[in-house]
Amino acid sequence: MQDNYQVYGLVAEFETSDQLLAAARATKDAGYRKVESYTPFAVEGLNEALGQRKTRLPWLVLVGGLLGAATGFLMQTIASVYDYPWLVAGRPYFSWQAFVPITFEMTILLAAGTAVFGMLLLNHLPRHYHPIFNTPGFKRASVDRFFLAIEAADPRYNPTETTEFLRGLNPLRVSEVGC
Amino acid sequence: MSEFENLRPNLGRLQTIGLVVGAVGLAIAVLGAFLNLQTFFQAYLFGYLFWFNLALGCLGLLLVQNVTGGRWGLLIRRMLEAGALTIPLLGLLFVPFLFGLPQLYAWARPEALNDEVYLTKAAYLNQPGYIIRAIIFFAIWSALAIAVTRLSRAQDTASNPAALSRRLRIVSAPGIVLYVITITLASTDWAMSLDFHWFSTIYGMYFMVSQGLTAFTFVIVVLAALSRQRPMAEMVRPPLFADLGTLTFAFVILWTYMSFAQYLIIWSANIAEEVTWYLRRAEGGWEYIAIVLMIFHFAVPFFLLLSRRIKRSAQLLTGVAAGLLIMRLIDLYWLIGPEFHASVLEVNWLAFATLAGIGGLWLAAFAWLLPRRPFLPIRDPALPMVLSGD
Repeated sequence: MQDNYQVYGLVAEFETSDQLLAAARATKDAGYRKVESYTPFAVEGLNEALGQRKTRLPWLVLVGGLLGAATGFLMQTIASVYDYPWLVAGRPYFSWQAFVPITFEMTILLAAGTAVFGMLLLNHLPRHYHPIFNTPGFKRASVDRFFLAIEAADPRYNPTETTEFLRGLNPLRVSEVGC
Repeated sequence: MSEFENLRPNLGRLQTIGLVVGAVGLAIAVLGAFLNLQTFFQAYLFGYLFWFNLALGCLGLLLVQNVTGGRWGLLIRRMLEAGALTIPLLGLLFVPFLFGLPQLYAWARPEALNDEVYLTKAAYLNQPGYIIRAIIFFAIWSALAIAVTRLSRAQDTASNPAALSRRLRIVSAPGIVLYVITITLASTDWAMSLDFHWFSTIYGMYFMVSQGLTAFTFVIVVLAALSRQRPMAEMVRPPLFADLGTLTFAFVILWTYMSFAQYLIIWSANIAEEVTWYLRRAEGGWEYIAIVLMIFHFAVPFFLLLSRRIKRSAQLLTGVAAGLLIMRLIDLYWLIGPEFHASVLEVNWLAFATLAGIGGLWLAAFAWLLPRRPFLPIRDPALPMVLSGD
């Protein structure tokens, strides 16, 4: 063992999503908070079972969309009313009707951009290294196995007790994973 | 799923109230017809088109549901079927128009023959053509409504329900094409030709979207009322309301798109014969109605329906849907009213009488048709999955 070896946490591997759901509930009830799950597909109710709070992303997207609408509308208004007033077919400089398509496009652009980059940011991505990939057999998390990790950073984490706890949940195996 | 065989909503009271309101409303309307025949027909067109849009919206959504499937449609299918089956009644209520075309449409009056623009359109826009087309439309819609409800009913007792789902798809797919073509023509004949100089190619689509939105909001209101009763409450759960709310949201955006696209195109081109339609709606108080529509038919429901919490709550979603139904009324009046009245203050009280009269009869028919079959398509192969899934 190297000197700088640090434990990332304990990872349990399950065969079915139902077993994982039950394990997630038990883990939450046992008081663990720094818990993460890895599954090949979205498992309904898993976030609630782990007690994870709802994502803030929708609010960010709303702000992005409103910002886009304001940018698009103001950009056109400032350009065609103040900076470069140009008479087109006798219409008023402030022809809001003509500004709507661009305003709409800018709304979509910033809202969609916020959705994509906000998601990456909130997930701390892109990231070149994550200790969870040291877990034996972890590749099957994207095929047919369900993983539950309790991080060593959790205040309730205790190498022996937590291992015993996870064994009690009836997993295929429990592995200690290093950083 | 046979435990749902006897699940039928009790709508006896709605049927009675509908009949009474319908009889009173139509009696007042007939009284109005003796006072002023032209005002009567103008009011009748408004009252008629609102309920017509609801029934045709039910048919359109039903055809789409039969082709696409989906949780949103399975639990409301019987309501859509009952709504679509009222089309023969609407055909009957259409008969008065045949005697009042010159009262409603300038093109049906003799002086139209001196109008150069009319002469170029006379081959299509004439009284026999209008009547023959109306008969064909009602024949097609009635046949479609009866065909799909028959198949759906046969499925309730079928030994091989999957085969009937397939046949429903086969009938409904070409039915959607027929629906789109006939509504385009019918909306042109009945509403757009009020100003026969004017034309807009998006008008038919605008009508279809309005119909879909009217039907969705109506179904939400009825479903929420029914789900207060015992067995319904367990089946109609928040995810279903979330689906219906999301689709209503989509229809609100589509309505806005159609309305604004038509306006932007005509505003950009700025051609004398096209802009008159909007100029008439930009004065006499109609411009305030337009602003009300922008705020309450688009902005407010748009932001409300973004919220997952509102969409999942039967009560809150019903509030939004009821508000949108009222907006549908106002939008319809904004669409045809300015062709009759220069000022919004000239709106005649008869419009409320015809709206209530036709509406009462329509609701009575709906309340009579809905409980005649199980509330759920009991042998539809997708039903168990829909009922169990969250």
